[in-house]
Amino acid sequence: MSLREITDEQFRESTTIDGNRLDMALDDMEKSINSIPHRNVGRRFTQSQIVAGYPPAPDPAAVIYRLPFMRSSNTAADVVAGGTAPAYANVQRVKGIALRSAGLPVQWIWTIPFAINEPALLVDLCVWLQTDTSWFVYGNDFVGAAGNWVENIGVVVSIDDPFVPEQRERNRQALVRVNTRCDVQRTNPLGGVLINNFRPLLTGGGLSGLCIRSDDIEIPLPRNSRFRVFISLPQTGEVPWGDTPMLSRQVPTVTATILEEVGRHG
Amino acid sequence: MAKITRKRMARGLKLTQQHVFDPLHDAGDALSGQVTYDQMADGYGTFRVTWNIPILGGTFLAAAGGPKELMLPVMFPPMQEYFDEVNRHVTTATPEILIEECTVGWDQRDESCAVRDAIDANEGKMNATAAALAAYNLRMRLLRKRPTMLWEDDTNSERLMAQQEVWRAVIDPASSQSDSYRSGNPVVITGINHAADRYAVYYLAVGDARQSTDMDTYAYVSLTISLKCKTRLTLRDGVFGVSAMPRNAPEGRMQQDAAVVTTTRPVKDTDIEADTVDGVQTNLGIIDTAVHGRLWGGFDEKAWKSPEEHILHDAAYEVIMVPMFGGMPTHITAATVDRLPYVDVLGQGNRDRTCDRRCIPLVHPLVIHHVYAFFSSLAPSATTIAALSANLKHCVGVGLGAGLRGDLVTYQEVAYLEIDPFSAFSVGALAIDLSATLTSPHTGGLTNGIIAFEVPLVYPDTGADGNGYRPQGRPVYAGREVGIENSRSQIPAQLGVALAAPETAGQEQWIEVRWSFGDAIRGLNLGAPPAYDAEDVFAGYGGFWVQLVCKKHLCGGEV
Repeated sequence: MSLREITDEQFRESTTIDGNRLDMALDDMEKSINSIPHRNVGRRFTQSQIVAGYPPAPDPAAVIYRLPFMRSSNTAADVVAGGTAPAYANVQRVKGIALRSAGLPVQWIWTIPFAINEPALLVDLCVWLQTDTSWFVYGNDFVGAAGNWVENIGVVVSIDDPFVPEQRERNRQALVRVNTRCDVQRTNPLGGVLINNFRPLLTGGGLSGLCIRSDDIEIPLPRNSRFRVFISLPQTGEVPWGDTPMLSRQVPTVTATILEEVGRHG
Repeated sequence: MAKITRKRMARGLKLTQQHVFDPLHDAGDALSGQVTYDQMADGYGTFRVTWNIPILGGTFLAAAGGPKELMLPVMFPPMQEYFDEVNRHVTTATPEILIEECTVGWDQRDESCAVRDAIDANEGKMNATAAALAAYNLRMRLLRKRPTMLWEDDTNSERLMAQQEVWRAVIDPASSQSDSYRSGNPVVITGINHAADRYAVYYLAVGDARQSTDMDTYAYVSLTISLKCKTRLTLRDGVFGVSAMPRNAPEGRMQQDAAVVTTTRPVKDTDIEADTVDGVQTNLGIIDTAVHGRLWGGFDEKAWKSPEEHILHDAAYEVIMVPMFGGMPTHITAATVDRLPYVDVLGQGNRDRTCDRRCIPLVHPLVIHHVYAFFSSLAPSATTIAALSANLKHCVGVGLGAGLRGDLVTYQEVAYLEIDPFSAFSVGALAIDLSATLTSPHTGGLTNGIIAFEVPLVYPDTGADGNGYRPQGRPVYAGREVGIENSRSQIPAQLGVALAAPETAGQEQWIEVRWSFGDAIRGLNLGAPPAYDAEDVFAGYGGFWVQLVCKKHLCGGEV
């Protein structure tokens, strides 16, 4: 048996076992056990969860607000009346949200930006679009006019290019999840389930809507990287979306789970 | 077990067993499930306090007479086993927390421009004039405050104010003005290095550094701020004979299966040899093999652990900050309450109650130790006050959900707080902390302030058996597990009822956080007297926050 980790000293029959070599070997071992390097630790990450979400103003309310959703393109139509246009560095703000059914129309996107300066892993991204099982304030059934499940909801994770970070077209697409039929994302295959056995009881009740979960994804986020989570919803004017009110037909909750390595103090 | 030590070998020393085999024996003992955080080169776990604010607009930041700063609250209480209910002191055993750095970023439409606020006619549109580009001048101040419940003098108005500014930073407009090279949005700001006071309330005050009118019509959209913190690894809950078993826990998974690393000492007065059973090489090899095979502790996603665990300290502190009632472009009063769901829905007369909820998927197992709720009455005005009434009721709950694309659809209650009535008296009696951002709190109410409550974890009918600011139950495990042989420990179905098997039967998939409030007598709308008026704030600008303080575990490797 040769020693591989804790010391370079090797003791064999017909070699010397002198005090100097023993001292060095024990010294190495002591350092190794008292300051175990992270390569020798089997599990050396801990998770952190980043939660975002809000209840949109219900439809019909006095006023419908769009923010934090904004249009996915930057054109003259997106400039304040009488204002000054920027240089349009990114006419298309997100890569990869083209729709099979409609090409690349303007869509509503909600961006959650983040930056890290130590490497990490994005292991889970969950976009929960809750609806109601009663009252139907948030009443999106995600079924189109022809009775088809919609497939124009997008989830994208995009990492800025390290050399040209302001050009979104240079971004690395770490996760693109579009053109997916939403019936497979339903929280329950049978639709809404009115179970309400923990307090406070919900007025809207139950478990209903979509849970677009990307788990076990293990996307490496490099050192000093900037990344953005994009949620895109269509601006079709068609059933079930309508126009602006469609942003008020479900309650979005986004949870990003990242793993970060254990580290040193300070 | 702490770090191993040994006797040094001086020149001319007669070698004995103690010199060679005692250190080897100690190393074997350490690797037998006793490796502590200080024996690991990287023994500190990271956690993040992350706030996402959908809209932070000039209507709030630049309002005349308003607080001009959005207060984002957080607490860093010790986990239950370290929580001193009597004196609220930390000891050397309490893991310290270091706030290290801050990440901040917002959605600027990926252009060098400013974005119009929600209540503006040009909502979400961009402008690149010089004045607009000067608008984004974000200032963050981290404030430390002693909770009001720890003040002996209830009449001292200073108890409502933060006592210390521990850090501040300004993101100047140049950072948000991108060129083709690089902007500072998002950005990581390092060097905070503040050791958190474990029994204090912290507020990250976010405002406009210049407090200029440039910001009037613009907004920070999807503003995301994250404090990165470090704390040393600690003992996981439920390790047999050392720490208490949490509720709802897979007991077999929580207990440690310590590795057995045994070295062999030679018989007294025998020669020191290399390759024999009791030889130096053989014994060093036993230690080497254990280290080379990597040292194990912690769980995977389904609480699967190594059958041979070497690491004793394999858990760390975790904070999950959950936004509630955020995203509103204004604060909510009786005049604007129809912006909240279920209030006067479709004219059906349901004016008395609203609620919000967040569903957070369970990825790796957690043990929930504390839950805090932060009510806000922040408004762009000096005359508004928190709506307090003998008829108003606020309810905050945390539960575990099962049944996502499954058959067992149910919940297990984890924590619940009902503030009924939400009146000045009961709020004052229940609150951990009241804060105000203006110098003189409004008579009889809280102007532009935050109220912090502890939401008690469920405890059985026999009484509270956990540690916290208020009576509460023991920590609650939340997570999946593999295998059916690991029965879950009992948990009351609700606060104050008998212990029983968990409702979710070990199949929980998400944590659900709910907050509801309403007035069954007067309703929430303006109108029929006696009613609330437009100065009574139901929900402050930016909404409320619920903070989960959890214990998480080492994860990420495959056994």
